[in-house]
Amino acid sequence: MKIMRTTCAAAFILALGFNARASAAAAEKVLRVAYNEDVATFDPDGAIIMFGLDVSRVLYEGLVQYKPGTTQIIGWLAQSWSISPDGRTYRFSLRDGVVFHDGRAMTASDVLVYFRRRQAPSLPLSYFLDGVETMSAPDSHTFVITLKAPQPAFLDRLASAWAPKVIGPEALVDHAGGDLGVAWLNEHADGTGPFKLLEFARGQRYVLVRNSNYWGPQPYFDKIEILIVPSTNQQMLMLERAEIDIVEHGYPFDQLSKLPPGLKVDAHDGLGLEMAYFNQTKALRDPAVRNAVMTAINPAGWLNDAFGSFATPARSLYPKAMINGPQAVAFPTDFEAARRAIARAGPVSIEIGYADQEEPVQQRVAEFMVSLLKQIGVTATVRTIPLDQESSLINNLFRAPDIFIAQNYPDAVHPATQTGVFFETGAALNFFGYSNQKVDALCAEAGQLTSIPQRDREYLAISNILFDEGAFVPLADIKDIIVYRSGLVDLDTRPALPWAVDYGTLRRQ
Amino acid sequence: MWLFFLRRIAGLVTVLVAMTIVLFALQEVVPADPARALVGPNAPNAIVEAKRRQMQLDRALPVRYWRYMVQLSKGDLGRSIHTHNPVTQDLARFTPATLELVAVALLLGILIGAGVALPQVLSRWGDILRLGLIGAASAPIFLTGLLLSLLFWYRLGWLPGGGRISPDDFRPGPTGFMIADSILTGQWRMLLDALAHLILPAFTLALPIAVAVGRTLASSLTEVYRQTYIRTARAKGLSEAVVLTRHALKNAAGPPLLMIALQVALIFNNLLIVEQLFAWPGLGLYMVQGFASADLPAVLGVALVAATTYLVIAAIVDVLRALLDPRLSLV
Repeated sequence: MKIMRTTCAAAFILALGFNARASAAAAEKVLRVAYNEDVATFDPDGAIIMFGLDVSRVLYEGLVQYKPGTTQIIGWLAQSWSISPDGRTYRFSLRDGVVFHDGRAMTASDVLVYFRRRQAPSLPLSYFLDGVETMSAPDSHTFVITLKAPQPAFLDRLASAWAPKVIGPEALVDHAGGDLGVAWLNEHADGTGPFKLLEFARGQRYVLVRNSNYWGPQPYFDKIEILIVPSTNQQMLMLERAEIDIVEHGYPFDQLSKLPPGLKVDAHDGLGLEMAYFNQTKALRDPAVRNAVMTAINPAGWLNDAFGSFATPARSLYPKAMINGPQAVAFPTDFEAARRAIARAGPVSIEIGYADQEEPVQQRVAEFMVSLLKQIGVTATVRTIPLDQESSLINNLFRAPDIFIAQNYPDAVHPATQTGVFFETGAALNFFGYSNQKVDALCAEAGQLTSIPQRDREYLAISNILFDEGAFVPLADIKDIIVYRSGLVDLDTRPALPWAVDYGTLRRQ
Repeated sequence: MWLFFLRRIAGLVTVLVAMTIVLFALQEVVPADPARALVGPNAPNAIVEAKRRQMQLDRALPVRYWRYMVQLSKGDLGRSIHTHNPVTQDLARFTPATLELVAVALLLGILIGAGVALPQVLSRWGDILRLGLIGAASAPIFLTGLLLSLLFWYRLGWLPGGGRISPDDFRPGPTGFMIADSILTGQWRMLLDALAHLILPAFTLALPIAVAVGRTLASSLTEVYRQTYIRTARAKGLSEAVVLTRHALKNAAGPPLLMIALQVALIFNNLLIVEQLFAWPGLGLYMVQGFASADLPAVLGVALVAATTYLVIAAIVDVLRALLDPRLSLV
């Protein structure tokens, strides 16, 4: 009995301590967010990260950014800019009164030093500055970039979620070491943003505190705590218990219509287009079979079941936020003709691969496709493709799945960043090695157009060619979903900023 | 005895080398691309190729293996692809969390196991306890953890549902072990907080250990109690407690000790699940992140730590058993 009493007393004290801490935290202006995985690095030049973009953008700032809720480019550290008539020289007028987290004032020379670092071939994201001929800082407020040839997509690259963002001299001079400050920036930050990195406990949490020297409006929150919680289910429960304030990614679509009281959902257009990539090496070599398969996988047959009201049929091979095509893609609809085509081709078996980074939802889409394909006589199986193996599919097309479905993100809003990553010969995410010289030439031509309506028409024509050839099949525009506790306002999401809110403007009502 | 000890060390080194060979060979089978994982999905192929050369992934497998072993002999486990840190630095950061959890789970497992085994042998209530424990441990560990979490964290709010410590302003200590650090720095609220965070994951991990240890100890004790020296001890007038502690437990300890060594291997398997479930920032979490980013140096590093820990514990148990029963050192 004595042991029992002691145990109960200990449990009570532990519980008391735990709950007292929770209620004390609620009184502070602290925002708590959970990420599913550790962020590799907040170094803006270090890697393409998905989780952590919102932290990255309140630590570091670029020259330009997308206006919240739109794809319009506005100034950030650059107050204004001009582009020379030949389209090669960009002259940025820098904002006054910008101070790095270490207290030093930012000048154009700092920006120049940083941009030179970004160009270092050893840094993974150096390709954002491909085509830059020279850079200079003629005075303390002016930064100039000259390109080798005009790049109408250049400003979009500078506004991208992974764009160059200026790092201060504490990293690039004081702690540069022999690796351009990479090691130091792994767990520290020296930017100009509204928050400073106070603590980086890898695998556990990151803590940001308000930067009182910030040049812009002071953020509402004093502190932001990012917790690493791998399980989305646990994040959902934590949100319900008010232990965190936001789940930025992965909340199941089928739960969104029955959210517990006190939670709200923000659904906004993003750049993550759901696409099917066709491997034309095996069963889908025959155009008639491809056409039949496209009849079966028409998103009209499964979109609502998979995503509810949070997705719409794709309008082209570009996300709606990039080019809003005139109407949904017209899939073939004659099931009888599809059945006859499959019967003529003999037994057809295909394998559908799906990207594991969005596993529950992609698996669901793949399974819908399997049942629809069965209706036209195609036997289909599904398998998951780990993220780190996607780029190796091209190495053995006979072992690769016949269809690969994924929601991938381009670097920015300009359509050139979509064609350059997915459709052109040798593109990084051209998983099955599609190659068409005519498409490459059209992409090069469209990439030089500055008239946006004309540019979009050209790109839509490219989309039609790719769809008609059955190489890439646009399926759905899926909204970016953020679930948060009631009372939070001014999330200021951006289509080109996946899985992120703006911690600088976010506040509690 | 020394020869026995040296044989165990030689076996340990051989197993570790064999494991590095197997893991390295697996790289050739798994079509993952560490260079692509490092630079990101959208980077042009030219950047990926440059990174591949920089990481020396374009070299033949035996060349890379030799280089790895040369580095390993100097205590260098390479650099993690995901965290960009030296793997030794990451391991130093993540290992204390895992060791703390494993130690507490082992201790809990042994205590619960003994607490179930002793009444089973000494009284008639043991069978009920045993049935209860088997029932609790027969569920998959994922389910057990989930149910415990749902009850004690989500429903009752008595214990934290995840993490190692509350996001509070505790001062870090010198060891990386929260319990030790809180005591060394005199932060008693931190000690309570760390213990509260440990309970659910440690208990989840401890249940299968408790069943295994409890059953082995019970059957071993039952066997020992049938021996004549126990009858003699009782005939000498020794109390039941003295018979148990001085004579029975010492002679019955061999099989449970062996079982504990086997359970250490199981613990590492279960850690991957429990650390994910309870957001415990240990080696399991580090390894899972490593898998996701084709981070071979990290995966190899964790595998080496896990295997070394297991082999060292197995060796210690063998030595302990040999000390308890010197005939075993002759085998």
